[in-house]
Amino acid sequence: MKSYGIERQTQLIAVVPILMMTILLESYYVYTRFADLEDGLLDRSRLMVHQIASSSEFAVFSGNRSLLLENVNAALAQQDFSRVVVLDADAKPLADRPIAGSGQYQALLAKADSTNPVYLDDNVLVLYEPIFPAQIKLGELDRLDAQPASADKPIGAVIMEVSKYRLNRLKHQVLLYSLGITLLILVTALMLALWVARGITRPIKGMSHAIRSFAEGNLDTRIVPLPKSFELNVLARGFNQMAQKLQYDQKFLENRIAERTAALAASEHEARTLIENSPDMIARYDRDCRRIYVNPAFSASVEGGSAALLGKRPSESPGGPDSDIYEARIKEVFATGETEHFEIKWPGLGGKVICSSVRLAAERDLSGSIISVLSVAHDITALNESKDELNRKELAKSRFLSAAGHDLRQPLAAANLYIDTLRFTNPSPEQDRIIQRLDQSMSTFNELLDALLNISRLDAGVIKPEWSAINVINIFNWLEQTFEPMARSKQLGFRLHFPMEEMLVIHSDINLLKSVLMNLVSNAIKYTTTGTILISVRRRGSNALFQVWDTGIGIKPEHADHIFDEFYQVNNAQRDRSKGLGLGLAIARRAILLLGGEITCRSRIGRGSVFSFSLPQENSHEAAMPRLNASSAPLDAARMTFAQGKFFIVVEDDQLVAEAMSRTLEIMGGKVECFNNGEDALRYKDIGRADYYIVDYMLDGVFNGIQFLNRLRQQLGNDIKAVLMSGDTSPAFIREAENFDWPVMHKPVSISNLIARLGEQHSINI
Amino acid sequence: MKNWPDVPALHIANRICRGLPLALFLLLAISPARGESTDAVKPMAAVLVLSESDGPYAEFVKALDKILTDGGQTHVAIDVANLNENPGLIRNSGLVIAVGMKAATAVAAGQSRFVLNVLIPQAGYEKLLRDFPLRAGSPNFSAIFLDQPVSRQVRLIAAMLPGRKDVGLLYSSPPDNLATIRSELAGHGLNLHLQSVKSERQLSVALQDVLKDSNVLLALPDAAVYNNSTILNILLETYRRNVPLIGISQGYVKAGALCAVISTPSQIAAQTATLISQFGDSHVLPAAQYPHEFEVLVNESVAHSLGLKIKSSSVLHAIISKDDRSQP
Repeated sequence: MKSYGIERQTQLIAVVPILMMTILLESYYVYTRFADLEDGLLDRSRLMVHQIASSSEFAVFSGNRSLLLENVNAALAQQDFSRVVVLDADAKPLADRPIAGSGQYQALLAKADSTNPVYLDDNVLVLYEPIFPAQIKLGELDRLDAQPASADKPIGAVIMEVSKYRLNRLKHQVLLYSLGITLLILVTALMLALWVARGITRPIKGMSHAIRSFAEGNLDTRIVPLPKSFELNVLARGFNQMAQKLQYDQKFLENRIAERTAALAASEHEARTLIENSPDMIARYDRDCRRIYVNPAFSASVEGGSAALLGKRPSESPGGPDSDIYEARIKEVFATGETEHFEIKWPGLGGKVICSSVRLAAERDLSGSIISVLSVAHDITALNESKDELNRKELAKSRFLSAAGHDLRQPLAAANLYIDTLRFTNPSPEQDRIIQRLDQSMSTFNELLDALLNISRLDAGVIKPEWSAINVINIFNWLEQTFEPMARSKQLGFRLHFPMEEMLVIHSDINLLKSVLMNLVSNAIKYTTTGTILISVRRRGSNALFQVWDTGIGIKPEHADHIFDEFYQVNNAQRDRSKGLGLGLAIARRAILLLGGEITCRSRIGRGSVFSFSLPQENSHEAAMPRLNASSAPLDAARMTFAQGKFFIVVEDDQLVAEAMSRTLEIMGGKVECFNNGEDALRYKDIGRADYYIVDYMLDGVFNGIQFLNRLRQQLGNDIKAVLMSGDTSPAFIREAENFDWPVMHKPVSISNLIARLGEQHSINI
Repeated sequence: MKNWPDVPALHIANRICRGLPLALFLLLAISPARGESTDAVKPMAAVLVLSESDGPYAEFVKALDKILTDGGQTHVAIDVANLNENPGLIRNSGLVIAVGMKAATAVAAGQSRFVLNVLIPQAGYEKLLRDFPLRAGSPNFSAIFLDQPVSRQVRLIAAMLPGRKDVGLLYSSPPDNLATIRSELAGHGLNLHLQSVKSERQLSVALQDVLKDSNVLLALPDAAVYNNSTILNILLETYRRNVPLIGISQGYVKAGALCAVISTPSQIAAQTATLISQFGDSHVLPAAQYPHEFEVLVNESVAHSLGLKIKSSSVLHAIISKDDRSQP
């Protein structure tokens, strides 16, 4: 649909009614004028024909043609009357003017006669008027009494033809005149409408210009109010107010934006300062993993500075084996949007390997799509180095401990063997008492070494818990059997508390648990002089909470943090051995950690202590059968006879240990051959005849103990029964020894333990 | 009237008032019957049967009524249209006066024994006699003509236009009194020029013919020649020929005839009253007669237009009245 402008519409509104009115009026005028002209002509013609008829009456009556012609000519002298025919009563023409000749009147008579007195067409008007005699009343008596006269009978007729030529010309003129006036009015109306429309549209156009200008951003634009139009002035005022408000608002907004921009700039500056001055290496990556920003810390950490980094991929610069991983991680962040955290190594300045802890975070635009990835790399090279240093120290400590253990074990083993041997020499009671004391001190020493070894093994992580379902009732039975006599001997109460109504089964390693409990309970008994020892277990959610209560001396707060450290003993600066080694709690803590719990201690000095740890419950309710472990059996009679008639080959570089070993075995009835190293042993002709091989791990010569045993087995072609001995308690060795085919015994080795191990092999092999 | 209810009384009174003329008329109409039945003191003189109740008839009735009333005689007048409603009245009345042709024709057809026809032309009376042969010859069927005797008209011509001797006469059929006319004219030394009119269309020709020889045209009561339609053209033609027309009624004079001798309805009424009176005494009707009293009407304008110097109508009346045979 076509749309018109307001000006056009205004013009239409103004012109159309005027035009319609003009056309209507002119039409009416023309119509009435035409009708008037027609009527006028008709009336005039009627009048004329009537006049002719009446004036011709006497002439017709008297048959006076000349009189008739006079009459007719007088009529024809007038305009429009083109022909007059006067007929007598017999319709014979008495006068026929101006067309002469008979018969012509019949054409007129055909158009109009007495029945159709008026004939009208476009060009001609024909009127028929009968001539009636004038009526004169002769009187009532004459009328009534005389014979009726034919008064209504015409004595003749007049036919007059009237030309409409002049009428038509007049009509034409009227039409032209009307059209002229219509046009004049139309033109005037158009001009007027144009003028009026301009009057309306000019201010509107002005407004629209102003609005356009306003829309283009010229907020200063105002509309000048017009003197003529109230409504438009209201509009203009409204617009001006709106413009003013908008301008004000815009200024306000601009100020706000400026403030915010400044604030943003400040904050950006802060952020930039932070980033620029951050010791961390910060870079921003695009989707191609190319850097689009690097901070000075990063630039400074590579050759060539930022120029070497910007626009480059990690694999291009600085490269390194981890760069591919790095790129893959960046792509991952682009894909998932999740923050990545990992460590990489890369070549820094001078080829130095830099270890970084990298954090990758997605950066999003307002729509939430990831536009870049920010990488913050924290240099942990130094940290790693210090960690390594720490590890090295730890290792050194372990090595020291194992070395110390080894070196201590050698003489200890020998001493133990000699003490055992001494018992077979029928000592006097005094000697026996000395032997007892000697044995006691040696066993303390032995315990110390075992504990150190345990610490080493726990630290090395070689101890793997053997998970099983354990019914706590079994544990508590064991506790009662083991510790109730000890408590009773110190006249202490000994109470156990565990849930009776429902079986409590935990998921744990029974040996580790026993060792921990043993440690805690024996400590409790040790440090309690009066009162009661309470051992309890109860459900705590999905865990079982073990607690060992005592009413002992308690622990001072300043010691509480250290009681789980190695060799830390409260109030034992003199390191009195009877007070323990100070390793029990350290071992317990490590063991509980391994079992998935944590050991804690609460204590009040002089009132007592409670040690607590939680262990997970077994999911299945199947009660574990008590697994009673065969503890190291004392050297019983059966064991004593074990060595009789057996041939032992001992490969031991430590002469002291080798001698003590062989002497003991020989006393027990065995035959012993000792070798200093593996090579010598292998050269021995009867090497294959030995029943048992007792081999030190660290040997002088080419082979160590295990190599020797392997070679020997290779040489003999069959399985051999052997025990490896080692004074090395380092975690590394203990880990290695796990894989050996033969049992490893750590020095000092008691003869009973040795026999037990050999016996086990024997029984297995049989 | 006092006992009558309120509003309808007014309504009825209104109707009565409207119907008053009719009531009075009925009173008049019924009274002879009552008189007859009760042998009234004064016998009813006549019953008037009117062709019309207005115009010259009214004038006639009014004049007659006055004379009769003054003479102490009773009469009743009824319209010809109501004639059949009172058959007894007509049958039993002594004298019936038929006023006008229409009434005359109706009455002639009726049973009335004594009939006096007034305000009818002589030709009409003769036509009645022809139409009703039983009435012909009966002395009880008489008339007072509307026409004037020819002698009186001839005397008027002679008195008024002494220089004009040729009198033209147009007729559709020869008048019965043609001989009388001829002799009367001859008696005054006047020539008669006759011209018959075969048809109305030939009127103009006939008129022109007769006017060729005449200098006075005497009109006859011939409706085929002289009527409302023709009179103007006849007058125009005579005027053009400078021939004065002698009319036969007041209408002619008004239309343009030079003069006429006429009797007014009052004059005929007086004559009628006389006849009624005579009949009352003798129960005999005289023969049909011309009106005795007359007047001379002159159209001064026409006379002036024709350039005629004429005597006044009273002088003319006096001249004509002298030795008028029809005068009593």
